[in-house]
Amino acid sequence: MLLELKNIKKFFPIKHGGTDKRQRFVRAVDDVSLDIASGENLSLVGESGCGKTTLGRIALRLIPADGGSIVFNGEDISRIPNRYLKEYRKNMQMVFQDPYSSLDPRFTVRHILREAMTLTMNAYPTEDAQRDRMAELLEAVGLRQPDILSRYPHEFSGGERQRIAIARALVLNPRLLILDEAVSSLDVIIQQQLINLLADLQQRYHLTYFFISHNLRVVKKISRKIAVMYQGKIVEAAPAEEIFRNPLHPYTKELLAAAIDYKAIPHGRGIQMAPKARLVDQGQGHFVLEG
Amino acid sequence: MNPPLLSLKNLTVTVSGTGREKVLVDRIALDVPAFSITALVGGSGSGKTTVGLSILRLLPLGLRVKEGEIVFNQEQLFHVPPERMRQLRGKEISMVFQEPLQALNPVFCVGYQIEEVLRCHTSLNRRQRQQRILELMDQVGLPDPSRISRSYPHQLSGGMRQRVMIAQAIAGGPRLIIADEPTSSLDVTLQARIMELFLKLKEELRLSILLITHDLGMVARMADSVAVMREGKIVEAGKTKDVLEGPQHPYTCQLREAMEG
Repeated sequence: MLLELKNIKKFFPIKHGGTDKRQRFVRAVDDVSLDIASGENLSLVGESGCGKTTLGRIALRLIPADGGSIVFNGEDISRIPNRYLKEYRKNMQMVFQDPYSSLDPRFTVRHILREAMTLTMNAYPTEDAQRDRMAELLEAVGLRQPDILSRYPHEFSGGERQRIAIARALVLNPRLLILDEAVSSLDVIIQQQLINLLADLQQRYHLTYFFISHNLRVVKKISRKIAVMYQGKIVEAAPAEEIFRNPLHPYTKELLAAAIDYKAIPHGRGIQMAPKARLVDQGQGHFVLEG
Repeated sequence: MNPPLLSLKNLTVTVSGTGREKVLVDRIALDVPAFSITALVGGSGSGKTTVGLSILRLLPLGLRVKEGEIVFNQEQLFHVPPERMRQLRGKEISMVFQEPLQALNPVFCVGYQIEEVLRCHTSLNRRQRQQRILELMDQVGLPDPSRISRSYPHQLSGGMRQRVMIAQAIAGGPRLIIADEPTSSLDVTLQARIMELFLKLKEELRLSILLITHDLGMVARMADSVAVMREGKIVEAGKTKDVLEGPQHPYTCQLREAMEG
Protein backbone atom coordinates (compact mmCIF):
# COMPACT_ATOMS: atom_id res chain seq x y z
CA MET A 1 0.00 0.00 0.00
CA LEU A 2 1.23 3.47 -0.84
CA LEU A 3 -0.89 5.25 1.76
CA GLU A 4 -2.79 3.71 4.65
CA LEU A 5 -4.95 5.77 6.94
CA LYS A 6 -5.88 3.80 10.04
CA ASN A 7 -8.65 4.79 12.45
CA ILE A 8 -8.12 8.49 11.85
CA LYS A 9 -10.02 10.76 14.20
CA LYS A 10 -10.32 14.52 14.25
CA PHE A 11 -12.66 16.35 16.63
CA PHE A 12 -13.01 20.11 16.52
CA PRO A 13 -14.11 21.85 19.73
CA ILE A 14 -17.30 23.89 19.52
CA LYS A 15 -17.23 27.23 21.25
CA HIS A 16 -19.47 27.00 24.23
CA GLY A 17 -21.33 29.80 25.87
CA GLY A 18 -23.95 30.45 28.50
CA THR A 19 -24.23 28.23 31.51
CA ASP A 20 -23.28 24.98 29.82
CA LYS A 21 -19.65 24.44 30.71
CA ARG A 22 -19.17 21.06 29.07
CA GLN A 23 -16.87 21.10 26.06
CA ARG A 24 -18.57 19.71 22.95
CA PHE A 25 -16.93 18.51 19.74
CA VAL A 26 -17.74 18.14 16.07
CA ARG A 27 -16.66 14.69 14.97
CA ALA A 28 -15.25 15.89 11.64
CA VAL A 29 -13.43 12.61 10.96
CA ASP A 30 -14.70 9.75 13.05
CA ASP A 31 -12.58 6.60 12.98
CA VAL A 32 -11.88 6.46 9.25
CA SER A 33 -9.61 3.89 7.61
CA LEU A 34 -8.62 3.99 3.94
CA ASP A 35 -5.93 2.36 1.78
CA ILE A 36 -4.51 3.56 -1.49
CA ALA A 37 -2.36 1.14 -3.47
CA SER A 38 0.26 2.49 -5.85
CA GLY A 39 -1.36 3.43 -9.17
CA GLU A 40 -4.89 2.80 -7.88
CA ASN A 41 -6.70 6.09 -7.73
CA LEU A 42 -9.06 6.55 -4.84
CA SER A 43 -11.85 9.10 -4.74
CA LEU A 44 -13.35 10.32 -1.53
CA VAL A 45 -16.82 11.67 -2.22
CA GLY A 46 -19.29 13.47 0.03
CA GLU A 47 -21.22 16.68 0.59
CA SER A 48 -19.70 19.87 1.98
CA GLY A 49 -19.00 19.55 5.67
CA CYS A 50 -18.68 15.76 5.68
CA GLY A 51 -15.00 15.89 6.66
CA LYS A 52 -13.38 14.92 3.36
CA THR A 53 -11.07 17.94 3.14
CA THR A 54 -10.04 17.50 6.78
CA LEU A 55 -9.10 13.90 6.05
CA GLY A 56 -7.04 14.96 3.01
CA ARG A 57 -5.18 17.51 5.09
CA ILE A 58 -4.52 14.98 7.83
CA ALA A 59 -3.05 12.56 5.26
CA LEU A 60 -0.44 15.19 4.38
CA ARG A 61 -0.05 16.13 8.04
CA LEU A 62 -1.03 19.70 7.26
CA ILE A 63 -3.18 19.47 10.38
CA PRO A 64 -2.65 17.05 13.28
CA ALA A 65 -5.02 14.13 13.82
CA ASP A 66 -6.52 13.39 17.23
CA GLY A 67 -6.05 9.67 16.80
CA GLY A 68 -5.04 6.97 14.35
CA SER A 69 -2.00 6.55 12.18
CA ILE A 70 -0.82 7.53 8.72
CA VAL A 71 1.38 4.98 7.00
CA PHE A 72 3.10 6.13 3.83
CA ASN A 73 4.98 3.54 1.81
CA GLY A 74 5.19 1.19 4.80
CA GLU A 75 6.38 3.79 7.27
CA ASP A 76 4.30 5.36 10.02
CA ILE A 77 4.60 9.12 9.54
CA SER A 78 1.99 10.17 12.05
CA ARG A 79 4.43 10.68 14.89
CA ILE A 80 7.64 11.84 13.25
CA PRO A 81 8.63 15.40 14.21
CA ASN A 82 7.66 18.23 11.89
CA ARG A 83 11.22 19.03 10.89
CA TYR A 84 11.60 15.66 9.18
CA LEU A 85 8.33 15.96 7.27
CA LYS A 86 9.87 17.62 4.22
CA GLU A 87 11.21 14.24 3.12
CA TYR A 88 7.67 12.86 2.97
CA ARG A 89 6.06 15.92 1.51
CA LYS A 90 8.36 15.52 -1.49
CA ASN A 91 6.44 12.35 -2.20
CA MET A 92 2.94 13.59 -1.48
CA GLN A 93 1.66 16.86 -2.83
CA MET A 94 -1.62 18.68 -2.85
CA VAL A 95 -3.63 20.56 -5.48
CA PHE A 96 -6.21 22.83 -3.89
CA GLN A 97 -9.73 23.67 -4.95
CA ASP A 98 -9.46 27.31 -5.74
CA PRO A 99 -6.63 28.28 -8.10
CA TYR A 100 -7.44 31.93 -7.44
CA SER A 101 -6.24 31.69 -3.87
CA SER A 102 -3.68 28.86 -3.99
CA LEU A 103 -1.26 30.80 -6.23
CA ASP A 104 0.44 33.89 -4.81
CA PRO A 105 -0.73 36.86 -6.92
CA ARG A 106 2.63 38.63 -6.52
CA PHE A 107 4.69 35.73 -7.89
CA THR A 108 5.39 35.04 -11.54
CA VAL A 109 5.02 31.46 -12.76
CA ARG A 110 8.82 31.16 -12.66
CA HIS A 111 8.84 32.27 -9.04
CA ILE A 112 5.99 29.88 -8.13
CA LEU A 113 7.79 26.89 -9.64
CA ARG A 114 11.20 27.85 -8.32
CA GLU A 115 9.88 28.16 -4.80
CA ALA A 116 8.67 24.57 -5.00
CA MET A 117 12.05 23.47 -6.39
CA THR A 118 14.15 25.07 -3.70
CA LEU A 119 12.12 23.68 -0.81
CA THR A 120 14.32 20.65 -0.73
CA MET A 121 17.91 21.56 -1.24
CA ASN A 122 19.93 20.07 -4.08
CA ALA A 123 16.96 18.82 -6.09
CA TYR A 124 17.72 21.34 -8.85
CA PRO A 125 21.03 22.98 -7.91
CA THR A 126 21.79 24.92 -11.09
CA GLU A 127 19.86 27.53 -13.00
CA ASP A 128 20.03 25.29 -16.05
CA ALA A 129 18.55 22.33 -14.24
CA GLN A 130 15.74 24.51 -12.93
CA ARG A 131 15.01 25.95 -16.34
CA ASP A 132 14.88 22.53 -17.98
CA ARG A 133 12.59 21.16 -15.32
CA MET A 134 10.21 24.13 -15.63
CA ALA A 135 10.05 23.76 -19.40
CA GLU A 136 9.37 20.05 -19.09
CA LEU A 137 6.58 20.49 -16.55
CA LEU A 138 4.85 23.31 -18.39
CA GLU A 139 4.89 21.24 -21.54
CA ALA A 140 3.52 18.25 -19.61
CA VAL A 141 0.55 20.23 -18.27
CA GLY A 142 -0.14 21.71 -21.69
CA LEU A 143 0.90 25.32 -21.17
CA ARG A 144 2.84 26.31 -24.24
CA GLN A 145 2.82 30.10 -24.48
CA PRO A 146 6.44 31.27 -24.91
CA ASP A 147 6.49 34.02 -22.29
CA ILE A 148 4.60 32.01 -19.70
CA LEU A 149 7.30 32.00 -17.01
CA SER A 150 7.28 35.75 -16.62
CA ARG A 151 3.50 36.07 -16.32
CA TYR A 152 1.43 36.45 -13.13
CA PRO A 153 -1.51 34.28 -12.03
CA HIS A 154 -4.13 36.95 -12.82
CA GLU A 155 -3.16 36.75 -16.49
CA PHE A 156 -4.46 33.18 -16.74
CA SER A 157 -7.93 31.65 -16.90
CA GLY A 158 -9.16 29.34 -14.13
CA GLY A 159 -8.26 26.19 -16.08
CA GLU A 160 -4.77 27.47 -16.86
CA ARG A 161 -4.18 28.39 -13.24
CA GLN A 162 -5.14 24.92 -12.15
CA ARG A 163 -2.57 23.58 -14.64
CA ILE A 164 0.06 25.80 -13.03
CA ALA A 165 -0.95 24.46 -9.61
CA ILE A 166 -0.58 20.91 -10.94
CA ALA A 167 2.85 21.71 -12.42
CA ARG A 168 3.92 23.10 -9.06
CA ALA A 169 2.74 19.97 -7.28
CA LEU A 170 4.75 17.81 -9.71
CA VAL A 171 8.04 19.68 -9.36
CA LEU A 172 9.64 17.24 -6.93
CA ASN A 173 8.35 14.08 -8.62
CA PRO A 174 5.84 13.06 -5.97
CA ARG A 175 4.28 9.62 -5.91
CA LEU A 176 0.94 10.67 -4.50
CA LEU A 177 -1.13 13.68 -5.47
CA ILE A 178 -4.05 14.75 -3.30
CA LEU A 179 -6.53 16.72 -5.39
CA ASP A 180 -9.00 18.52 -3.17
CA GLU A 181 -11.95 19.52 -5.40
CA ALA A 182 -9.33 20.38 -7.99
CA VAL A 183 -11.79 20.75 -10.86
CA SER A 184 -14.94 21.86 -9.04
CA SER A 185 -14.65 25.57 -9.73
CA LEU A 186 -14.28 25.08 -13.48
CA ASP A 187 -16.84 24.69 -16.25
CA VAL A 188 -17.66 21.23 -17.58
CA ILE A 189 -15.46 21.35 -20.67
CA ILE A 190 -12.41 22.53 -18.75
CA GLN A 191 -13.18 19.87 -16.12
CA GLN A 192 -13.05 17.20 -18.77
CA GLN A 193 -9.81 18.55 -20.24
CA LEU A 194 -8.17 18.52 -16.82
CA ILE A 195 -9.34 14.99 -16.06
CA ASN A 196 -7.83 13.87 -19.38
CA LEU A 197 -4.63 15.73 -18.53
CA LEU A 198 -4.44 14.01 -15.16
CA ALA A 199 -4.86 10.62 -16.83
CA ASP A 200 -1.93 11.44 -19.16
CA LEU A 201 0.24 12.66 -16.31
CA GLN A 202 -0.46 9.48 -14.39
CA GLN A 203 0.95 7.41 -17.25
CA ARG A 204 3.93 9.65 -17.72
CA TYR A 205 4.99 10.11 -14.11
CA HIS A 206 3.57 6.96 -12.45
CA LEU A 207 1.41 8.96 -10.10
CA THR A 208 -1.29 7.85 -7.72
CA TYR A 209 -4.26 10.14 -7.17
CA PHE A 210 -6.35 10.73 -4.10
CA PHE A 211 -9.35 12.74 -5.30
CA ILE A 212 -11.61 14.61 -2.97
CA SER A 213 -14.85 15.69 -4.58
CA HIS A 214 -18.56 16.20 -4.05
CA ASN A 215 -19.44 15.04 -7.53
CA LEU A 216 -19.44 11.35 -8.41
CA ARG A 217 -19.81 12.08 -12.11
CA VAL A 218 -16.56 14.06 -12.24
CA VAL A 219 -14.44 11.34 -10.62
CA LYS A 220 -16.10 8.42 -12.41
CA LYS A 221 -13.63 8.21 -15.26
CA ILE A 222 -10.41 8.44 -13.31
CA SER A 223 -11.01 6.51 -10.07
CA ARG A 224 -10.33 2.87 -9.44
CA LYS A 225 -11.98 2.90 -6.04
CA ILE A 226 -14.53 5.22 -4.51
CA ALA A 227 -15.21 5.86 -0.83
CA VAL A 228 -18.34 7.75 0.16
CA MET A 229 -18.13 9.86 3.29
CA TYR A 230 -21.03 11.20 5.35
CA GLN A 231 -20.86 13.05 8.65
CA GLY A 232 -17.29 12.05 9.36
CA LYS A 233 -17.67 8.36 8.52
CA ILE A 234 -17.10 6.23 5.44
CA VAL A 235 -20.54 4.83 4.62
CA GLU A 236 -19.61 2.86 1.52
CA ALA A 237 -16.41 1.90 -0.29
CA ALA A 238 -16.12 -0.15 -3.46
CA PRO A 239 -14.51 -0.34 -6.89
CA ALA A 240 -15.77 2.56 -9.04
CA GLU A 241 -17.95 0.53 -11.43
CA GLU A 242 -19.52 -1.27 -8.48
CA ILE A 243 -20.56 2.01 -6.82
CA PHE A 244 -22.26 3.17 -10.01
CA ARG A 245 -23.85 -0.20 -10.78
CA ASN A 246 -24.93 -1.23 -7.34
CA PRO A 247 -25.02 1.56 -4.75
CA LEU A 248 -26.14 0.12 -1.42
CA HIS A 249 -26.08 2.86 1.19
CA PRO A 250 -28.98 5.37 1.06
CA TYR A 251 -26.53 8.27 1.09
CA THR A 252 -24.64 6.91 -1.94
CA LYS A 253 -27.95 6.61 -3.75
CA GLU A 254 -28.70 10.21 -2.93
CA LEU A 255 -25.31 11.38 -4.24
CA LEU A 256 -25.79 9.41 -7.44
CA ALA A 257 -29.29 10.77 -8.01
CA ALA A 258 -27.98 14.30 -7.55
CA ALA A 259 -24.87 13.94 -9.73
CA ILE A 260 -26.31 11.86 -12.56
CA ASP A 261 -30.05 12.60 -12.66
CA TYR A 262 -29.97 16.01 -10.96
CA LYS A 263 -32.69 14.90 -8.60
CA ALA A 264 -32.99 15.35 -4.87
CA ILE A 265 -34.09 12.41 -2.75
CA PRO A 266 -36.05 13.69 0.23
CA HIS A 267 -34.64 12.30 3.46
CA GLY A 268 -36.47 14.36 6.03
CA ARG A 269 -34.05 14.82 8.87
CA GLY A 270 -31.07 13.24 7.14
CA ILE A 271 -29.79 9.70 7.27
CA GLN A 272 -29.56 8.13 10.70
CA MET A 273 -26.37 6.33 11.62
CA ALA A 274 -25.84 4.27 14.71
CA PRO A 275 -22.81 5.39 16.74
CA LYS A 276 -21.33 1.89 16.71
CA ALA A 277 -21.96 1.20 13.02
CA ARG A 278 -19.28 -0.82 11.19
CA LEU A 279 -18.31 -1.31 7.57
CA VAL A 280 -19.50 -4.75 6.45
CA ASP A 281 -17.99 -6.64 3.51
CA GLN A 282 -20.53 -7.37 0.77
CA GLY A 283 -18.03 -9.22 -1.44
CA GLN A 284 -16.04 -7.98 -4.45
CA GLY A 285 -14.35 -5.33 -2.33
CA HIS A 286 -17.68 -3.65 -1.63
CA PHE A 287 -18.06 -2.35 1.95
CA VAL A 288 -21.16 -0.75 3.42
CA LEU A 289 -21.75 0.83 6.80
CA GLU A 290 -24.30 -1.15 8.78
CA GLY A 291 -25.35 -1.04 12.32
CA MET B 1 -49.12 32.58 -29.99
CA ASN B 2 -48.53 35.00 -27.15
CA PRO B 3 -45.57 37.31 -27.46
CA PRO B 4 -42.63 36.23 -25.30
CA LEU B 5 -42.21 37.80 -21.88
CA LEU B 6 -38.64 38.78 -22.66
CA SER B 7 -37.18 39.15 -26.06
CA LEU B 8 -33.62 40.05 -26.96
CA LYS B 9 -33.00 41.13 -30.52
CA ASN B 10 -29.66 41.70 -32.12
CA LEU B 11 -28.13 42.42 -28.71
CA THR B 12 -24.49 43.49 -28.92
CA VAL B 13 -22.38 44.31 -25.89
CA THR B 14 -18.89 45.73 -26.22
CA VAL B 15 -16.11 46.61 -23.88
CA SER B 16 -13.96 49.63 -24.57
CA GLY B 17 -10.85 49.53 -22.46
CA THR B 18 -7.49 50.58 -23.72
CA GLY B 19 -7.45 50.90 -27.48
CA ARG B 20 -10.14 49.42 -29.61
CA GLU B 21 -13.55 48.02 -28.80
CA LYS B 22 -13.98 44.34 -28.18
CA VAL B 23 -17.27 42.56 -28.80
CA LEU B 24 -18.38 40.40 -25.85
CA VAL B 25 -21.90 39.60 -27.00
CA ASP B 26 -22.39 39.50 -30.71
CA ARG B 27 -25.86 40.19 -32.12
CA ILE B 28 -27.72 37.56 -30.18
CA ALA B 29 -31.46 36.92 -30.28
CA LEU B 30 -33.23 35.11 -27.47
CA ASP B 31 -36.86 34.75 -26.38
CA VAL B 32 -38.06 33.79 -22.94
CA PRO B 33 -41.73 32.78 -23.21
CA ALA B 34 -44.02 33.37 -20.23
CA PHE B 35 -44.19 30.63 -17.57
CA SER B 36 -41.24 28.68 -18.88
CA ILE B 37 -37.61 28.04 -18.12
CA THR B 38 -35.16 29.07 -20.80
CA ALA B 39 -31.53 28.11 -20.38
CA LEU B 40 -28.52 30.00 -21.68
CA VAL B 41 -25.59 27.59 -21.73
CA GLY B 42 -21.91 28.13 -22.37
CA GLY B 43 -18.41 27.75 -20.98
CA SER B 44 -16.75 30.35 -18.82
CA GLY B 45 -16.04 33.50 -20.77
CA SER B 46 -18.73 32.84 -23.37
CA GLY B 47 -20.62 36.01 -22.46
CA LYS B 48 -23.68 34.40 -20.87
CA THR B 49 -23.46 36.38 -17.62
CA THR B 50 -22.98 39.58 -19.60
CA VAL B 51 -26.30 38.92 -21.34
CA GLY B 52 -28.02 38.49 -17.98
CA LEU B 53 -26.52 41.68 -16.57
CA SER B 54 -27.36 43.72 -19.66
CA ILE B 55 -31.06 42.88 -19.30
CA LEU B 56 -31.15 44.52 -15.87
CA ARG B 57 -28.74 47.24 -16.95
CA LEU B 58 -26.22 46.14 -14.35
CA LEU B 59 -23.21 45.94 -16.64
CA PRO B 60 -19.90 46.83 -14.99
CA LEU B 61 -18.12 50.01 -15.96
CA GLY B 62 -16.63 49.91 -19.44
CA LEU B 63 -19.21 47.53 -20.87
CA ARG B 64 -22.12 48.90 -22.85
CA VAL B 65 -24.97 47.70 -24.97
CA LYS B 66 -23.92 48.94 -28.34
CA GLU B 67 -27.01 48.01 -30.23
CA GLY B 68 -30.04 45.80 -30.13
CA GLU B 69 -33.37 45.64 -28.37
CA ILE B 70 -34.40 44.30 -25.00
CA VAL B 71 -38.17 43.97 -24.90
CA PHE B 72 -39.76 42.96 -21.61
CA ASN B 73 -43.53 42.61 -21.51
CA GLN B 74 -43.77 44.75 -24.65
CA GLU B 75 -41.71 47.53 -23.10
CA GLN B 76 -38.43 48.63 -24.62
CA LEU B 77 -35.95 48.39 -21.76
CA PHE B 78 -33.18 50.01 -23.71
CA HIS B 79 -34.87 53.40 -23.62
CA VAL B 80 -36.58 53.50 -20.25
CA PRO B 81 -35.28 56.10 -17.79
CA PRO B 82 -33.28 54.99 -14.73
CA GLU B 83 -36.26 55.56 -12.37
CA ARG B 84 -38.39 53.10 -14.30
CA MET B 85 -35.48 50.64 -14.37
CA ARG B 86 -35.30 50.74 -10.58
CA GLN B 87 -39.02 49.94 -10.41
CA LEU B 88 -38.54 46.98 -12.70
CA ARG B 89 -35.61 45.52 -10.80
CA GLY B 90 -36.92 43.31 -8.04
CA LYS B 91 -40.56 44.05 -8.83
CA GLU B 92 -40.76 42.65 -12.35
CA ILE B 93 -37.36 41.09 -13.00
CA SER B 94 -35.00 39.89 -10.32
CA MET B 95 -31.68 38.15 -10.30
CA VAL B 96 -30.12 35.31 -8.35
CA PHE B 97 -26.36 35.51 -8.42
CA GLN B 98 -23.75 32.76 -8.41
CA GLU B 99 -21.91 33.63 -5.23
CA PRO B 100 -24.38 34.28 -2.42
CA LEU B 101 -21.63 35.30 -0.04
CA GLN B 102 -20.58 38.09 -2.36
CA ALA B 103 -24.08 39.12 -3.32
CA LEU B 104 -25.42 39.42 0.23
CA ASN B 105 -24.37 42.30 2.43
CA PRO B 106 -22.23 40.98 5.31
CA VAL B 107 -23.19 43.70 7.80
CA PHE B 108 -26.98 43.27 7.72
CA CYS B 109 -28.93 40.28 8.96
CA VAL B 110 -30.64 38.39 6.16
CA GLY B 111 -34.17 39.25 7.30
CA TYR B 112 -33.34 42.94 6.87
CA GLN B 113 -32.03 42.28 3.37
CA ILE B 114 -35.21 40.51 2.34
CA GLU B 115 -37.25 43.28 3.93
CA GLU B 116 -35.45 45.86 1.83
CA VAL B 117 -37.16 44.49 -1.29
CA LEU B 118 -40.56 44.68 0.43
CA ARG B 119 -39.90 48.26 1.57
CA CYS B 120 -39.03 49.37 -1.94
CA HIS B 121 -41.72 47.58 -3.86
CA THR B 122 -44.74 47.05 -1.62
CA SER B 123 -46.95 49.19 0.61
CA LEU B 124 -46.88 46.75 3.51
CA ASN B 125 -46.41 48.23 6.96
CA ARG B 126 -43.69 47.11 9.32
CA ARG B 127 -45.64 44.31 10.96
CA GLN B 128 -46.97 43.00 7.66
CA ARG B 129 -43.44 43.00 6.29
CA GLN B 130 -42.16 40.96 9.23
CA GLN B 131 -44.96 38.48 8.62
CA ARG B 132 -44.19 38.36 4.90
CA ILE B 133 -40.45 37.74 5.49
CA LEU B 134 -41.25 34.67 7.54
CA GLU B 135 -43.66 33.42 4.85
CA LEU B 136 -41.05 33.93 2.14
CA MET B 137 -38.36 32.14 4.13
CA ASP B 138 -40.70 29.26 4.74
CA GLN B 139 -41.57 29.14 1.05
CA VAL B 140 -37.90 28.72 0.04
CA GLY B 141 -37.45 25.96 2.62
CA LEU B 142 -35.43 27.75 5.28
CA PRO B 143 -35.95 26.05 8.63
CA ASP B 144 -36.76 28.11 11.74
CA PRO B 145 -37.36 31.42 9.87
CA SER B 146 -37.63 33.64 12.94
CA ARG B 147 -34.11 32.66 14.07
CA ILE B 148 -32.51 32.68 10.64
CA SER B 149 -33.97 36.06 9.71
CA ARG B 150 -31.82 37.50 12.49
CA SER B 151 -28.65 35.72 11.32
CA TYR B 152 -25.90 37.27 9.26
CA PRO B 153 -24.80 35.73 5.94
CA HIS B 154 -21.55 34.34 7.36
CA GLN B 155 -23.49 32.36 9.95
CA LEU B 156 -25.38 30.41 7.29
CA SER B 157 -24.29 27.51 5.10
CA GLY B 158 -23.91 27.90 1.32
CA GLY B 159 -27.26 26.27 0.60
CA MET B 160 -29.07 28.46 3.13
CA ARG B 161 -27.49 31.61 1.72
CA GLN B 162 -28.66 30.66 -1.74
CA ARG B 163 -32.19 30.16 -0.35
CA VAL B 164 -32.02 33.63 1.21
CA MET B 165 -31.09 35.06 -2.19
CA ILE B 166 -34.02 33.26 -3.76
CA ALA B 167 -36.37 34.58 -1.06
CA GLN B 168 -35.08 38.05 -1.86
CA ALA B 169 -35.60 37.47 -5.56
CA ILE B 170 -39.24 36.41 -5.20
CA ALA B 171 -40.12 38.98 -2.53
CA GLY B 172 -41.16 41.67 -5.00
CA GLY B 173 -43.43 39.25 -6.87
CA PRO B 174 -41.45 39.31 -10.13
CA ARG B 175 -42.54 37.69 -13.37
CA LEU B 176 -39.01 36.87 -14.51
CA ILE B 177 -36.04 35.60 -12.54
CA ILE B 178 -32.58 35.63 -14.05
CA ALA B 179 -30.66 32.87 -12.30
CA ASP B 180 -26.95 33.20 -13.03
CA GLU B 181 -25.24 29.90 -12.18
CA PRO B 182 -27.42 29.61 -9.08
CA THR B 183 -25.92 26.30 -7.99
CA SER B 184 -22.31 26.40 -9.17
CA SER B 185 -20.88 27.14 -5.75
CA LEU B 186 -22.84 24.32 -4.08
CA ASP B 187 -22.22 20.60 -3.81
CA VAL B 188 -24.29 18.22 -5.93
CA THR B 189 -26.87 17.24 -3.32
CA LEU B 190 -27.58 20.90 -2.62
CA GLN B 191 -27.63 21.65 -6.33
CA ALA B 192 -30.38 19.10 -6.78
CA ARG B 193 -32.39 20.59 -3.91
CA ILE B 194 -32.07 24.15 -5.19
CA MET B 195 -33.19 23.00 -8.65
CA GLU B 196 -36.19 21.33 -7.07
CA LEU B 197 -36.95 24.60 -5.28
CA PHE B 198 -36.84 26.58 -8.53
CA LEU B 199 -39.21 24.12 -10.20
CA LYS B 200 -41.61 24.35 -7.25
CA LEU B 201 -41.53 28.15 -7.19
CA LYS B 202 -42.04 28.34 -10.93
CA GLU B 203 -45.34 26.47 -10.55
CA GLU B 204 -46.49 28.23 -7.38
CA LEU B 205 -45.68 31.74 -8.52
CA ARG B 206 -46.14 31.29 -12.28
CA LEU B 207 -42.59 32.49 -12.92
CA SER B 208 -40.45 32.59 -15.98
CA ILE B 209 -36.82 31.81 -15.45
CA LEU B 210 -33.77 32.61 -17.53
CA LEU B 211 -31.29 30.03 -16.31
CA ILE B 212 -27.62 30.75 -16.99
CA THR B 213 -25.41 27.69 -16.57
CA HIS B 214 -22.57 25.63 -18.00
CA ASP B 215 -24.13 22.34 -16.99
CA LEU B 216 -26.20 20.56 -19.63
CA GLY B 217 -27.43 18.05 -17.04
CA MET B 218 -29.11 20.87 -15.20
CA VAL B 219 -30.60 22.11 -18.47
CA ALA B 220 -32.00 18.67 -19.25
CA ARG B 221 -33.62 18.52 -15.83
CA MET B 222 -35.11 22.01 -15.79
CA ALA B 223 -35.33 23.93 -19.03
CA ASP B 224 -38.06 23.96 -21.67
CA SER B 225 -35.81 25.53 -24.27
CA VAL B 226 -32.11 26.20 -24.49
CA ALA B 227 -29.66 28.47 -26.29
CA VAL B 228 -26.00 27.46 -26.48
CA MET B 229 -23.55 30.32 -26.41
CA ARG B 230 -19.92 30.40 -27.38
CA GLU B 231 -17.56 33.34 -27.70
CA GLY B 232 -20.40 35.84 -27.62
CA LYS B 233 -22.57 34.13 -30.23
CA ILE B 234 -25.51 31.80 -29.94
CA VAL B 235 -24.45 28.73 -31.89
CA GLU B 236 -27.53 26.59 -31.37
CA ALA B 237 -30.99 27.07 -29.93
CA GLY B 238 -34.23 25.16 -29.69
CA LYS B 239 -36.42 22.98 -27.52
CA THR B 240 -34.31 21.31 -24.83
CA LYS B 241 -35.22 17.83 -26.02
CA ASP B 242 -34.27 18.54 -29.65
CA VAL B 243 -30.98 20.22 -28.82
CA LEU B 244 -29.86 17.58 -26.33
CA GLU B 245 -30.90 14.57 -28.37
CA GLY B 246 -29.72 15.78 -31.74
CA PRO B 247 -27.09 18.46 -31.20
CA GLN B 248 -26.07 20.08 -34.48
CA HIS B 249 -23.17 22.29 -33.51
CA PRO B 250 -19.84 20.69 -32.54
CA TYR B 251 -19.65 22.84 -29.41
CA THR B 252 -22.98 21.47 -28.17
CA CYS B 253 -21.68 17.95 -28.80
CA GLN B 254 -18.56 18.79 -26.81
CA LEU B 255 -20.65 20.07 -23.89
CA ARG B 256 -22.70 16.91 -23.99
CA GLU B 257 -19.67 14.65 -24.03
CA ALA B 258 -18.26 16.52 -21.06
CA MET B 259 -21.41 15.64 -19.16
CA GLU B 260 -21.16 11.98 -19.93
CA GLY B 261 -17.53 11.85 -18.83
